[in-house]
Parts: sequence; structure tokens; C-alpha cells
Amino acid sequence: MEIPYTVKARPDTGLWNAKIGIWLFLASEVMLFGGLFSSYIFLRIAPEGPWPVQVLTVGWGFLNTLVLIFSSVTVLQAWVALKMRKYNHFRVWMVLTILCACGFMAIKSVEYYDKFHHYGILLQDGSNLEGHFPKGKEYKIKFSDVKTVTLAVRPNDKGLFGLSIFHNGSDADFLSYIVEGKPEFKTPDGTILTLDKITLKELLHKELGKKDKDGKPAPESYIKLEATNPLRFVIPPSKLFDNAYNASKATFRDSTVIEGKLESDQMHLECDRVDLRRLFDAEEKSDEKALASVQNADVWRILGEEWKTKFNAHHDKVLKEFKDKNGEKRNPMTSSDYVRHVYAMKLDAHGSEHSSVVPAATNNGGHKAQEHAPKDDHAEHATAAGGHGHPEVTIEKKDVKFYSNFTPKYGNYFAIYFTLTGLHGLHVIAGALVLTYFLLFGKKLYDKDPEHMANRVEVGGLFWHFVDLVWIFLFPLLYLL
Amino acid sequence: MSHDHHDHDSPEYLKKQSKIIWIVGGILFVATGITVGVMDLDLGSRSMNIAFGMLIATIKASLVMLIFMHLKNERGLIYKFLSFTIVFVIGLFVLSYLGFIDPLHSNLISTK
Amino acid sequence: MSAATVTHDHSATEHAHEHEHHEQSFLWKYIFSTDHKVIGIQYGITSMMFLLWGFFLMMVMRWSIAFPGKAMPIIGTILGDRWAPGGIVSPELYNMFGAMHGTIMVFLGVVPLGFAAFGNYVMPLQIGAVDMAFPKLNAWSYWLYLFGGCLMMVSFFLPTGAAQVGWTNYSPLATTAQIDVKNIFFTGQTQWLFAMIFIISSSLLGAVNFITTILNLRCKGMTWMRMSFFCWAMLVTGFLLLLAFPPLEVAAVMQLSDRIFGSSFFLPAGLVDGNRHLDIAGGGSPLLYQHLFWFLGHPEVYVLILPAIAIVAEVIPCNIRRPLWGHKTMIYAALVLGFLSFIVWAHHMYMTGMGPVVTSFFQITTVLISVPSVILLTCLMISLWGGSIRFNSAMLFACAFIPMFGIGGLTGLPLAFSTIDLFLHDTYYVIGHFHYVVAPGTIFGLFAGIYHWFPKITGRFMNEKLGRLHFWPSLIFMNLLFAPMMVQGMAGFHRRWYDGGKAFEETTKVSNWLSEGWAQFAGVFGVHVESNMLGLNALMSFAAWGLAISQVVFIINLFLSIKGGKKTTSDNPWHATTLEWATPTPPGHGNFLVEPTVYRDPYEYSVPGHKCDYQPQWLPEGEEPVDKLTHMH
Repeated sequence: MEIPYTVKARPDTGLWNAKIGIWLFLASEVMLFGGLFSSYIFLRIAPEGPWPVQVLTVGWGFLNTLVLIFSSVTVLQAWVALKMRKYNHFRVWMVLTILCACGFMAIKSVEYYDKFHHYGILLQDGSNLEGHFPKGKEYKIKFSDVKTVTLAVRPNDKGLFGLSIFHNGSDADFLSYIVEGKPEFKTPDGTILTLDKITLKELLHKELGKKDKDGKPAPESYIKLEATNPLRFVIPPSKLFDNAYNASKATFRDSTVIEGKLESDQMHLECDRVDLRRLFDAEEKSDEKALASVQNADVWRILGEEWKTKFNAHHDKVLKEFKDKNGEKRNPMTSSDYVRHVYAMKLDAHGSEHSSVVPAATNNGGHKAQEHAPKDDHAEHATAAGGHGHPEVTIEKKDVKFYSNFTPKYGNYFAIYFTLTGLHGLHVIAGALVLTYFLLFGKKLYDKDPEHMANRVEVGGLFWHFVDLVWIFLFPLLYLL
Repeated sequence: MSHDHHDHDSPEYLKKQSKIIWIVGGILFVATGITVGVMDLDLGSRSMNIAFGMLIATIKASLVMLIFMHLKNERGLIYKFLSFTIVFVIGLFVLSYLGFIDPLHSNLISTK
Repeated sequence: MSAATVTHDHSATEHAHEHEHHEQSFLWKYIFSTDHKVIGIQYGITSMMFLLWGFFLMMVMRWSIAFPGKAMPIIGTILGDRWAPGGIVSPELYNMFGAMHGTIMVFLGVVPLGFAAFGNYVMPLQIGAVDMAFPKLNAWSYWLYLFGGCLMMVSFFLPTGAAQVGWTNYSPLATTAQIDVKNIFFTGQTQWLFAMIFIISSSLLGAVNFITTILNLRCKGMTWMRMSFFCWAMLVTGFLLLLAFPPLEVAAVMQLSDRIFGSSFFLPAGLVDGNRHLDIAGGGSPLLYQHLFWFLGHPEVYVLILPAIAIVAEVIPCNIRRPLWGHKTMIYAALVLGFLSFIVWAHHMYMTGMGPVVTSFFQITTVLISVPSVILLTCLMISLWGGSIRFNSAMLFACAFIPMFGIGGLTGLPLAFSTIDLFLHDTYYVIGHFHYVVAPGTIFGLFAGIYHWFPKITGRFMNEKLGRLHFWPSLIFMNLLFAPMMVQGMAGFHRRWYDGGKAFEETTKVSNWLSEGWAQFAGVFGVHVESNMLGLNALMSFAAWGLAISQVVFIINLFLSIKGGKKTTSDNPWHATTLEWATPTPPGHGNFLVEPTVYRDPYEYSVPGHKCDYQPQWLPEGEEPVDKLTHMH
């Protein structure tokens, strides 16, 4: 049995099977990315806060565009080589194509990595600080003097028919965040236990098996453990339920509760940008009013009044430049570029835009930023401790309304950015895998029926061009506009 | 039809194709440069920049479709179902856009 | 499927070797097969099991509706204390079963049975192809579907249970449900999304395969208009799946991102869940999800119904011995239906505060789409006129399909108007309406297909007596189940009341002749039922369980007939005209003994001037069909 029209075109449709198949598939891909692009537009029509513009490194995107276009050319050359029955040429072009795919993904990872380590902190009043957590001073929640740990056991958290694949409730995860003290606890029945993964599991298992008077497992029970010595915890915030802690208590995602004293939940940030655009209405048409509304922003309390002075100077400078260019008549607030340049200011102590006077950044807790910074001969470096000339500040958690690194959580721009580029990246990987398969295992088919092989490469190429085509739209939408 | 096919497989034709591919690749490179170049031009408003950027992207995409994906000499059948796809994408976009912003109200009525 | 399916090979020299090979590779022959017929049967068995499971979920729900707060006998104790404490169906369980009933029935039951199972088995045979265009891809579609289905099933056994927010999975509820857990991956809501991504991918691959096969693998002489309506319907359905599913995939990916990465595609700022502010950036749009969902959701309705109509359109001409009336008209109607189905979706969203312009647009398109639907139905009905009807089980189901689907369609018309929809939205009226379309409508069509093609698949007939015992109770119980829903719905019963409206007794104490009559009828048997609308709950629940019992007859019939049914004596036992009956019984790998050629239109029954009352497509002019039974060599 042989399926007809795998190589030769069917006379009445003029097409062979795989070509119809790939075009149909691409049609559905058009719907897929069409849905995503229209989502992009709807999210952009009414964003929460200002829509980030040109926050990605254009150079990387530009380079990636060229890489993809080049790979589109090479995959076509590979196909032409096959058509002309030059198998070795085909191999060279194919290797080049696959290298391009790897290069594209490498650049993509560099960009992603950069975003994962870049944070934005929205303060209570709506002003926003962006920057990096200094090395070794990542945001952690520190609890000291912890004497009680309550484990949650949920014997009844079972699926249908009483069957269950996973259990909710405590696990041994919390043990790995103890930095001081021995994990030695007194259990409710009076025995002293040094907890590790195994003993904890046994402890939980015993409790899971417990039944109540009627012989039914209790829906939920707790094991209260008293620490024999005070413990100190340093916990990454992602391990807790969202902001589920207060001055004396913290709840882990596995429902384990520790009780002690909140030692610190300060954030340290090397600021590289301050964004004040949420402080006034997006439709605000008066520059004076907008400027007035940002004078009492929370950021100045954290960065220091000196930075406000610099901001005002920066404002005047940009305003003057704008007026020189556009004349007095045009309202600067109608230009979103103007608003962005002024009210989302880059903080760079070395930057040529700013005066050479470097303010001493302070925080509201009264700690001098210098305390955290390595001592240096230059006053500049003492405050701009980040090594990039960015001021380092300390922010109390209570001043923070919302914070995130530049991941989908940070806002819809990054959400759609990661979704679009992530799905596109998956297509690149899938395409590259298919092309690699052609490269490695194509010889046999080529010897048997070179035209069939050429058809396969053409189909793979069509998919590859589509991936390129999507990127052609993604690049301006996400990087430039 | 079979005559056509023969033409498309001849070495001369393929050599010419190879050359065209390089030329189109070059045009795409330049167009990418232009896209980046015009992004900071002041065209009056950001929407103009967006429109202009999308225009260039559309031109580039058409080149990829017509030349790289040889849609130029493809059969009518493919055009048929691609045109349906485009109609439905536009339908998805326009109709849900109208669902968000009604022409009679002229302001956002239900984005959130 | 049966022992009789052992294929014999073309070449006698290879026979011994190959036969040995077959014995060893049972796994490859029946499990990992790339043969479209085996895959079709795999789809059929899997989807029927899902249908059964979805039906079970519904029966538990109907207990809760009819007897809220009362322990469910036997099953209640099996469900587990977490979900049914003391055997009483909990509201969470009701929500979970409600959401999963819809999901399973639509995405794992009816679509795979109608489109994938029947399409896979019958369509390549009817166009005279040796197999699908991409057999391996076909197998991949099935395995992706099965994997997605298993993920869905596994989610029942997670600590959070399966998804609970309705089959539409609307954000923000779907995003904020089940988030206070150790690991957000292992929650029913998240698994629902993962499973959907697999099921959607499977459907996309299937659709590509179907369309390519129909376009490129038609046999000699099989011109477009000689193609049976069934294949046309498959073509249209394929396009619906191909182009409508991707936006839902987008929605699923975005909702997944909302759940796992904490983004806010569908979450507005300042969202409060319980008593706490969610730690999200906000700025998303819950309506965007609904648009993307219903962009699939509405074409999906036609994906459900078109294969069923198509099966009925095959069964009817064969059993009335007359050509299908308006074959071409039906084809064009199906094409128009397919096109229009893409631009009617927002009639599910009248209540979201859309403006009048877009509402009017969707109202108009929705009313327009009833035109091709009515054309299809009318053609089927006119076909019956003057035919000499052979009432076998398949024909009974096909005949019942017409009025049942008709009721389903006509009750939908009022819902098309936004002003009426304001009143009926989310009531049992809507439930009654679409269940008439998909349950006695689509499922009856699918039953007709099973009875009709069973002799081709197994070489044996299904038992006709049991078939009637299956049909009549099914028809009666279906109507007892769904007709009162409309009555309740117009009285204002909301579709998501787990107690069937008991908590709202003050407002649901309306009665009419139906509810009073039912209460008196039940009283005769010593069952006390309230004489108001609430009493109808018990009627519908008893009907649902009665329906279940009548399906037992079908299951028994199916299994008994595989081994013990009456053997066919002909490759074409119904004396049908389409190409699938030209194959050996059962068809082996490669389908046809000789490459078929098509000489005429698909439904040439009772053509004047011929001895036989049917002229099969594959017989050249002047030859008369003969009954003979062949095997693959």
C-alpha cells in the first residue's frame, strides 16, 4: 500500500500532500498568532499604568532579526541545492541554518536572563523604582527568635473516591531556610526530635494515619513543634504565600507556619530608573500640573531630596530641548515621548545628562546608603555602589505596593512579551529540531528519492519562513514601538 | 502543468532563484535597518511611528510570503484557504474590538 | 477488532512470514497502528468511555439537584468523605462534576466520536483513499488526545480535585480558584489548561490530516459534487477545528501564564479574592478571555452537530431507497454554515455590556445562521417524502434526530435576540436548548452511525431487537429529561444551582400544569413530589437514570454483537451506494482490493430503468450490483 501524491503533485489540485498539510497548519498558526496579536492590542488599549516602550535592548532584537532573515535565506539555499542534487551543498546550508537557530536562542536567553534579574518596585503612591538587587543582598525575609513551627497535616485532602496522587500540607522545605540554630524540636507528645527530611516525613506520616472517634480521618490537623533553641530563618519571598507574613508570623506555601520575630524585610535596590507617570492622569495635558504632582512622590523620600533637584533640572532641560525643536505652540504633554523622557528618568550618576553633584542617597529608615556600600575613594562610588553608577537604596516593605522582576507578573507588556517570544521560541526550537532531523537522517531518503527529500526540506523551510515572518512583526511591536 | 513543473526544476531556473533569494535577503536586511532607523523620528505622534513601523513590517512579511515561501507561483487552492484565514483573523480582531469599544459610545465601555 | 480482522497479504510467498510477524506485533497492529480504521476504532472506544464517564458525573449531579442534602445511596459512599461527606453531594463536588461534565462531553466525548472516530473510519473509505494522507500524524493525533484526556482524568485525584469553575473556565474565577496550594501545577484548574492544550493540538493535527486527505486523495472519478455529504461535512468541520481552535489555545496559554507566572492577562487591577487583594499587576481584561473562548466555542457547536447531520444524511437515503433530496443544496448550506459560525460568537456574551452596534451585528448573524441549519434539516425531511422506509435501528435514530435537532435549533432562536437573552441567560432554558442539540440531536446521530456501519467494521449486524429496546426508552427519557428544563428555565431557574433551586424556594414556588401533573402522577406510585417547579427536578433526574439504564442495553448489544451478532452475507448489506461498501468486510490495510473508480453521484437509489434499486458509485454503467462477501484476499 502506498499513499499517492507524496512526491508528485496531484493533477487537479496541483499540489502534493505535505504542501497542502503545511499550508493548512500555517493557516492555523496564523490564527494562533493572530489571536495573540489582537490580545496585544487589547491589552495596550487600556493598560494599567504606562505601557513600557523601548525597554528592551534594541541591539539584541535587531541582531536576532538579521540572524533569522539570514537563516531563512540559508534554508532556501539548502532546498535549491537539493533540487540541483548537490547533497554536500545542502548539508553546509543546513548546518548554517541550524547554527542560526542556536544563535537566535542564545541571544534570546541572554535577554531573558537580563529581564529575570531586573526588578521594578511600585511604591504605595504609584511612583516606581526600577533596578537590580545588589549581589548578595537579594530580597529575603528574615525571621529570628523562631520558637514555634506549626506543621499542617491534611489527611482529608484527597481526590475523588478517596484516591489521591499528591498531598497538600507541610513538607520538609522549611528546614532548608534555617540559617542559625539546630532544627531540634519538642513534639506535642514530649519527645525531642532533630528534624531532617526523613524524620519529618515519619512524623507527618504518623499524623496522617490518625483517625477520630468515628474512625474517620480529621479534615485537617496541626502539629505544633517547640524549638529547643531559637532559630533564625532567611526565606526567599517566593516560598511564602503572597505577602503572607507579619511581624510575628510567616506562612510557607506548604502551609507550615513559623512564629518568631520579623527581623527584616527590607529591599535593597540599585536603582537605574524612576518612573513617575502613574502619579498624574494619563490624559493630563498640563506639564506644570504634572510636575507639581510628582514633587512629593515617595521615591524622593527613598532616593533623597538631591535626586529631586536633579529631576527638576532634568525636566527643565528636556522641556527646553522640546521647545527648541517644536516651538512654543506645541503642548509637550501631547507627546508621549516627551512624557516618557521626562517622567521616566534614568538614574545614572555618571550620566552626562545629570549634574556632577552626586547626592547622598538616604532612606526613610535613616540609614545612610553608604553603610551598605563598599567604601571607595570617590564620593560618587560610595553612593553609586552598584558599579554602574546607580544609586543604591533601601526600601521598607511597607512602602511597597507591588514588586516583581521583569517577568509576566510585572505587567501586561512583559506578560505578552514573554508569551509571544516564548511561543515563537518554541517554534524556533521545533523548526530547528525538524531541520536537524533532515540533516542527520536525510541521506537514506535522498538516495532513494531525492525529489521526496527536496519536498520535505521545502515543507520544513515553509515553516521556518513562517517563524521568520512572525518575528518580523514581533521585533517592531515589542522592541521599537 | 507538467510543462510548468519541468521549468521549475531546470538548473537555470534554480540558479536564478538562488540569486533572487540573496537579493530579497539583502532587501530584508536593509528594511530591518530602516525600521530601527525611523523609530526615533518624530512623525507627529507615536501612533504614526507605529503605523509606519507596521507598514514596513507588512512589506517585509509580503516579501517573505511571496518570494521565500514561493506563494507567488503557488496554486489557487492555497490562496483560497489563506484568504479565509485572513478574513477570520480580521473578524476576530474587529468584532472583539467592537465588543470593547462601541462606535455609538466612542469611549471605552467594557475593557475591565 | 474481532478475530475476523486478520488481514491476508497480497503476496502468497510472503504470507507465512508475514503471518508470523502479525502474531508478534499485536501491539503495533492494534495499539500503535497507523491504519486509519484502527485509529478510528481507537478514537471510538476511547471517546465512548469518556461519554460514559461524563454521563456518570451528570447522574451524580442530578441526585444533588433532585434530593439536595440527602445522602446518595451506594455511590455517595464511594465518592469519598472529602467530596461527599456522609454520602451527601457537596457543592464543591457539584461544581467539579458540572465543569468536568461539560468539558468531557464536548472535548473528549462527542467531538472525538463524531469527527475523529467516524471521520477516520468512514471518510477515507468514502473517497476511495488507501489511508489518510499522513498516517503517522493521524496516530499522533490520537495519542495526544488520549494523553490530554488522561491528564483531565488524573486531575480528579489531585488534592484540589478537578476544575470547578464551569466548562467555559472563565477568568478571573478560573485564575483565582485553587491557588492557595503548595504547588500550583498540581491543581485541577492548571491541569485543565494543560490537558486542553494537548487536546487542541490533537484536533489541529487531525484537522490538517482530514482536509489534506479530502483534497488530495480522492480516487479516480470522485469529483467534488460526487463526494458524499458526509465527506463534505468532514471538510467543513476540519476547517472549523483548524481555524477556530487556535484562539482558544492562545487563551489557555495566557490563562496558564496567569496561574503559574502570576501575570494578569485576564485580571483587572485591584482584584479581591475572598478578603485579600491579589498580588498582581492588573490591567488585564476578563472579557478578552470570553472573546477568545467563544471564538472557538461557537464553531465548536457546529463541530459537534455537523458530523451527526452528516451521518444521518448517509443513513436516511440508504434506508428510504431514494436519493438524498438537495445534495448540492446541503453542501452549500454546510459551507455557509461553516463560514457564518465564525462570526456569531458574541451572542454568548450579550450580558457582558457590549454596545448596541456590535450586539445588533451578532444578533443578525445569529439569526442568519439558522437559515443554513434549517436548509439542512428541511432537505433531510423532504428526502423522507415518498420513500419506502426501512425501519432498522440506525434509521430509527436517524428519524428521531430530525425532530430532536429541530427542537434544539428552534429553541435557540429566542436566545439569539439580546432582549430575550437578558431574561433567559444562564437559565435552564439554555441548558435545555443546547442539550436538545447535542444529546438527542448529535448523540442520536452518532448512534445511528454505529448501527449503520457496524456490519462493515465487524462483519456482523447489531441485534435489531435490542436496538429497538435501546431506541424507544432513550427517546422517551431524553425528552422527559430536557423538555422540563425549558419550562423551569422560563420560570427563572439558574443553571448552576447545586440544590436545584431549593435555597430559592420562595422565588421558585411557581407551578403549572406540567409540574402539577407530574406531582399527581408520582403520587400514584407513592412518591411525594412537590407540585411546584422544584418537583420537576425529580422528574428529570428519574429520566436521567432511566436514560442510563437504556444505554446499558446498547452496551450489551455492542459487546454481544461483536462476537455473536448475525453474520453479514454481503459486503454491502444495506445495499448502499457509497464507496465504503465496496471494500472487503472488514476492510484490511489498504482498504480496497482493486483501486476504485467512481462513475456517478453518491445517492443513486431507485434509478428508473435498472433492475436493482441502487446503483453504487463504483459500478460502471450497465453493470448491476451483486451481493457477495469478500475478505482481504
